[in-house]
Amino acid sequence: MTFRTLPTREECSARLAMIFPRAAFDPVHANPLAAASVVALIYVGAVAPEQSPVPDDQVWARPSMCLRMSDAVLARNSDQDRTAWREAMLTNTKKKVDDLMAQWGVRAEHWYADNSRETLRDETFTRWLDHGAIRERPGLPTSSSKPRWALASEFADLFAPTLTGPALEQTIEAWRSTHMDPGDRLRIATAQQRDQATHAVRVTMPDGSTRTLEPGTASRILKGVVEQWAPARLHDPVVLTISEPSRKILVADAAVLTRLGLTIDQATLLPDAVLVDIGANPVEFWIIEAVHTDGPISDRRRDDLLKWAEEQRIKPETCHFVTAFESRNSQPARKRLKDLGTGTYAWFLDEPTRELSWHEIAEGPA
Amino acid sequence: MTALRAGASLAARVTTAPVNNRTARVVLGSVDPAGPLAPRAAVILAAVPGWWRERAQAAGLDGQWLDVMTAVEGPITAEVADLADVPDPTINDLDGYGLGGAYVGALTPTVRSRHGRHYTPQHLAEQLWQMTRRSLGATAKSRMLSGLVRDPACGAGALLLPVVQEQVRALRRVETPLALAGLPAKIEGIDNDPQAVWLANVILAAEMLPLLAALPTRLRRPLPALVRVGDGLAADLSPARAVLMNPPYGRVRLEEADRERFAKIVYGHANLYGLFMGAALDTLEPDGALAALVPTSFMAGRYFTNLRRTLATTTSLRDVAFVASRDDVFAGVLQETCLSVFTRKRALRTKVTRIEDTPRAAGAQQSTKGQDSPPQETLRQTLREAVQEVAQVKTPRKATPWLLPRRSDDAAIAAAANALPLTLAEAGWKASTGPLVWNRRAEDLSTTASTDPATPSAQVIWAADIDGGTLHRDRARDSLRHLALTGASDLKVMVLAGPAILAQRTTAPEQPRRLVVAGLSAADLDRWGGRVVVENHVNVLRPITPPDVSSGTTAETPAMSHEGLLRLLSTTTMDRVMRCVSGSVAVSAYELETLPLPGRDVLAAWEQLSGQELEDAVSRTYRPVTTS
Repeated sequence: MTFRTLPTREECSARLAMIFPRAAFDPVHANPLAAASVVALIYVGAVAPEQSPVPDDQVWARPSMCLRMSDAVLARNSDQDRTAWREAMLTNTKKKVDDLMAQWGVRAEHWYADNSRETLRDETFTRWLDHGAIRERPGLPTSSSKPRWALASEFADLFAPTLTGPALEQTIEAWRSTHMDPGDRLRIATAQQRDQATHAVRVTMPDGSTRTLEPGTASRILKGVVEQWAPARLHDPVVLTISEPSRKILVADAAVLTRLGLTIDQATLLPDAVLVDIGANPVEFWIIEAVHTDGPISDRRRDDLLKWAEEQRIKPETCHFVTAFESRNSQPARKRLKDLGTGTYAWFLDEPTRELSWHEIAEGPA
Repeated sequence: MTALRAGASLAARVTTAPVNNRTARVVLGSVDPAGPLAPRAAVILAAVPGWWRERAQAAGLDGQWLDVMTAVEGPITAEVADLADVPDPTINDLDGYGLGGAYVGALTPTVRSRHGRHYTPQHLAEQLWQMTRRSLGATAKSRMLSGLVRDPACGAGALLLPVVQEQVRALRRVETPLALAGLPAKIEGIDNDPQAVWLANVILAAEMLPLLAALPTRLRRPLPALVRVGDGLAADLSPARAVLMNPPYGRVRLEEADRERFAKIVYGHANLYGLFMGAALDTLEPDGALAALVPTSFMAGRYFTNLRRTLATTTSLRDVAFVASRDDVFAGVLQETCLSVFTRKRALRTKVTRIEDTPRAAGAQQSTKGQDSPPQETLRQTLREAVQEVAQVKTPRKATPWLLPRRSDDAAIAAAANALPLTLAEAGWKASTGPLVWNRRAEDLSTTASTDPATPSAQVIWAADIDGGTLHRDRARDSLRHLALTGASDLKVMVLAGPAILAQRTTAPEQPRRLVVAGLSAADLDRWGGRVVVENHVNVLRPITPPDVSSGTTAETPAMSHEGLLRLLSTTTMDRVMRCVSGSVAVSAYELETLPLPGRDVLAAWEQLSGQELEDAVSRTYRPVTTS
């Protein structure tokens, strides 16, 4: 790959202020941290085509790469050095980076502390994303720690040191007119969403309709619950809600909810999925948690969910709970099975025909 | 111009009185109760007991609590009391918003338009409440209200629904009997339609059912009524922490006493929604917020000058969300709407967002539906959540039109324009609207010019004649090309005998520009007999004092020549400045006069430029000075 010529931090700051003037935009679009990020992302070569599918060897960056950049590192701007620093940073091990620094004979004085990353990720990057200035790696689960950010190439073009004077002004104006118009913003967002969708997990609902969920293990577990567990276990399953880390999806339409006398409050939706067995009498609600990183349905979690259910006008006595894991052998299951709440079930994606029940023994011999 | 959407819930204070043959204007303070119940509205009200029963049952209640008449406190009108209990499955499927919407939709068109009863879509009601609580400093977590929230024109209660829902969530961990009884001190709705008030009380009470069901039987009491029949403009309302409103619109005539009371906010014609906003300000607590779903005309219109001054000096516009499509909110009204939140506490910046039109945007996606496209629901969800951030600008502080960008690509221009020293009027140009209202003079209009000197005529200039930016004769108007100057004052008020710049007063949404201008030169006038008549869809710009180079009094002369100004107004940048002044397709004479311009020296320099050079120079000026 070829690296772009590095702009200075000051120059990035000045240009960001031209693109997102403070008089008109929230400062996080163009603050010093944002300027540092532009430099760092260009340094490591994390620049991706704006709309077309990303190439296989695309470089992605973590916010930490922007925070741990330093003047000393920036000065080592040969292609070789830039690659070396990036590789060291990508391993995400402090020692690798320290070794490289020692080898270069420089001291690592980071521009920013690690705890600045929330601001960068949640404010600057989110807003840049909105204008198509940055790209997020498609197909990566939200909870993944893998590097996921790259400047959009058209945005990176605005920081080329060779671009100056009226040509710079015109290029910025052209970029603004194609990235700030609501229609253009929708077009960019849709294209990137579509890219994301090709990696998504497709779930077929009991009624034959399909939904896509964010890529990731939690989504695959939920897919198993809906497609394998529910038809085998319930008489006539209906999926009410299903959620993915960044979004809650209400599956059932308003009419179904009203018939059931429910108001699902999306703002406080807790469980990963809620299924209803309308073939049972009375109707039974199955509350599912797909455990990949979070904890299972423990006693406390069960009580919280019951409270939530009550708020949604679901009668507690009609609620059942299932914790779904990838496998009995998976790390979360081995660590968390001990926390399983009394009166709940567990199910494993790789053994779909079985179910684990954790209940009080009924009094007296059966 | 302002569409006449008179008096939503103000029915009791409003009656129509013909002012002239064209418009009926309502008079504030006169009495006309809600009027007879439309048959369809009666059907919906008759289904409410069934609707309630279903919800109460679902909450686990039984016995008397299934009967809406005893379960909910509050006034029951004779009309409602007489209704038979006729359950309707289609009504049962509706939620609170849907039921309220169905009632408003079932009113007769006359009642609906005369009293401006419009319903609030759920996503806007929720958004308005989110914006309000944010400006009051509330965190994401549901919490108890710290003061009174009022909707002075609440209709069926849509704006209060999200408030009640949040309270019910927050109350779950509190001692419920007391908490329920305390709700009326925290939430108050006012409306003058007794049927709507009853319905609102039922809809809001339905949200409290889980709390009621959670109580031991002996502690259960009828659910409190939060909405009362009354006058939302009354002068003696108690102080409120927040006032939410989707008030009625329409011009009203004020009685002398009302005119005096509203003197601070009324300038010329009074508009009901402006009165509601002004009256609400008087009831706000020092740390209170006013949140209104209203047309954007108050941000730029001449008749809202005083309201703007009052708002800008006594409150801070904290948050404004432009609703990208109107038809979703108010079917058929060509008016831009917005959600605006003002706080008594001073803020330096205003957050501008844009709420995308959900149904149409989702519909547009259907055409691209293919194997790999995301499913409809996901996209629609994304769009529904699409409250796009547009900009953060300086909070408006003056009575002049507020320059607020509707899109991010106009944000920089709006910010820069706000800082410029002159307006078009201060630069020496005045704007007026063409005097000819053609249908009032239909009999005087003809295809050919008069040849008889005793009955002179003049050529008419139509808005269509300036399409494309050059003055021409639009063929479609040829049958109405000449006006016989028969009126006594025609020669004085109708004719235009000097060069001017003409600007279209309204444009079609599909036209690329909002600012469509063309020059009327001396040569044009010579060709057309020295005078023309301009119709009222055209604005006329003329220098305040005719430029007289020989006199040498440069301070008095307009800052730009006729040709120079014409070139300036034709630039892309000026069109975008105009879009920040007015979000609608209309361009009023007043708005033209307030267009922000740079100092005289800059204008003098522009005088020498044209074409791309001028475009570049103008675009550079309307760019904020960057500080890094």
